Amino acid sequence: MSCTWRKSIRSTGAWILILFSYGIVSAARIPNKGLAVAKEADARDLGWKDQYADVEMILKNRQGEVSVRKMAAQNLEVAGGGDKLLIRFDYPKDIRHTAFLCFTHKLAPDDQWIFLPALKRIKRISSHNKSGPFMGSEFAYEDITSQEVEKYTYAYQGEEWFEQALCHVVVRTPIDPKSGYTRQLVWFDQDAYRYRKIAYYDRKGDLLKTLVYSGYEKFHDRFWRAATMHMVNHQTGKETVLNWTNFTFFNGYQPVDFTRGRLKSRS
Amino acid sequence: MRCTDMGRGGMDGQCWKLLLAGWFLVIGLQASGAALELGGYIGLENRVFWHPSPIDGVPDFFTGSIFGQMEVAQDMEGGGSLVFTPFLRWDPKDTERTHGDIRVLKWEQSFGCVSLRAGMDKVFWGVTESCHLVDVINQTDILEQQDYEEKLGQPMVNISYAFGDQTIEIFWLPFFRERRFPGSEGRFRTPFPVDTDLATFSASREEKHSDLALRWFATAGDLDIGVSWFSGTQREPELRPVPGKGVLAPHYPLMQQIGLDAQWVQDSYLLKVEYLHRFDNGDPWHAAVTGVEHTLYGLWETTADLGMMVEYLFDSRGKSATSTFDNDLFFGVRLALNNTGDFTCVTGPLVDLDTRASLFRFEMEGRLSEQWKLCVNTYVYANHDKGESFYSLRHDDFSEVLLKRYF
Repeated sequence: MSCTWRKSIRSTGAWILILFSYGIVSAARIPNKGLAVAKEADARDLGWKDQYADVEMILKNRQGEVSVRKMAAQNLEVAGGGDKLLIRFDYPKDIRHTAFLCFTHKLAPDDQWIFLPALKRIKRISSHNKSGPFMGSEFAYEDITSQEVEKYTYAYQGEEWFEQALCHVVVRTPIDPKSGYTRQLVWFDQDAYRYRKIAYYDRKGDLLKTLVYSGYEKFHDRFWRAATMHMVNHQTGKETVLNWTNFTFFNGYQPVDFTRGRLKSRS
Repeated sequence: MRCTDMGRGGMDGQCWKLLLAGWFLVIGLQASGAALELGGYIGLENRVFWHPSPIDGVPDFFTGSIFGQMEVAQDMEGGGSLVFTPFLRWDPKDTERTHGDIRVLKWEQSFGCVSLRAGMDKVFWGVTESCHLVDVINQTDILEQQDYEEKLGQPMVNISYAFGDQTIEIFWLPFFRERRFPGSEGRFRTPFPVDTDLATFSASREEKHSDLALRWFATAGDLDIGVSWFSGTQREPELRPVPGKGVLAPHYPLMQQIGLDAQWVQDSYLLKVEYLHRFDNGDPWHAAVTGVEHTLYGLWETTADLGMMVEYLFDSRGKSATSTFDNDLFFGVRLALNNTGDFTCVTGPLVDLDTRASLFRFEMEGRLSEQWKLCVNTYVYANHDKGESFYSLRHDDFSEVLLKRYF
């Protein structure tokens, strides 16, 4: 009698072990849907090689006062690595010809330089302050530098309608502890996997900012670019609007155009 | 006005001709219908001196001047660009300080990895804040701000070749720009005034001597490094008393120098070093500046940053160094509010560890509106004993307000 009892325990135990193992293996094979959505969005925007755009940045504070910044942004797509960004400021006039160069890296800190036209000086700056404001706006440095898939971990939240588009909602958590955010909620539309909205949560976990993309246009039949990005800071009441115009692709930019020696040239 | 001094026939004597050439260029380009970019600023400077001057004729407490700079630029078909930037300052009290200069008058173009530039321009080399050791190409315009960061335009032909993360460049520098000094009625003048008409040169061709410079620089991850070599007329003059005349005459020797500048970034720390070795003019000597900059971001949950800098300055010539920074320590603090006005404040002392002589700077600037900018600066020269390089400036502590209108 005891022999059969022990035998049945052993066989039950074996089944539990088998089922448990199967469960683990299955879970490992179930794709992270959030990561899959992020990767699809990234894959849909590959092959643009280089990009030029004029950007107008409008800053509004709680009292309704408005300031304007104008700049030209050049991007270089880097295969397998982070993209390169070169911004030349145009307005206000006292910062005209100031330039900002950034080499984004997937996991290492970005390399950043600034060109100060009054002194003709090129300064390497620390990119440690990724959560700091870019040009006094509501966009942080980490918001404007290239969004690499590897910088976050992902979880799928669900589907939601946003502005007549059915979207995948993905929770993404920055891997870098220096990030100003504990998590972000990203709305990707299901049509073309374009960014529609991002909600940013600060280090305390409270909703800090919301970014809405609008005015999407298709270039070269492949690349979607938003004409307007509207960032609202719910805690301070300040807003920043980025208006993007004159997108051009395949300009023939080379890596040498994105070196610190070229920062001082006019274009 | 300095530009009208045709006596020496040197660079300044050519100044008017170059200004005219520049204006003809502007008019010609406008007539051709080319789209010109125009910009610049006009400024008003008001200075208050804390002590009356012991020298007769020099203003005791107040000085004011007007200054302005214009930039005219033209992007050409084919990728090149032309830039013309004249500068002018009018000082009603100090006729020597009233001066004009062509900061930039150049053509430049890039052809793939090669960049070419010809004309007058400004080149900056360096990474440290308290002192720019290796920066040698341009002559300092000491009539301008007391931080000695303003430079006169330098004629040059420059070719750069970029390969990977490295660049190598060569400079041919024809024509030497002599340093201008305050007049007999100007503040910051030496007790015996400097008579630039009596300037002498080691080079037989004097100011027409051509200088040569080479530089290599590269980025390797977190490290930015540059090595440079220069051969030619030393930009800093040796001021020699002229017997019987009660004036000083500048003498410009020939020299060679090798410079190194490097910066390493790690998190919110920047480690910097500049090293200079000068030879071929009397005894060789070397100097170095090394420092650390650390920034605290987002002070008290705001967008403000606080940067802290410490730099040590050394010169092997000791107390006979013309630059006076032979064993000095600099502490600096930079506060940047990162607001819409981009308000920034930099302050800190530079102290000689042997004599306790110090140079204290306070510089503040911010944008009042999209056209107007305000700067408030204070300089204090303390504890300078006889024999110290800044001894003649010990009564020249001042505060100034600059208002600039951009257009």
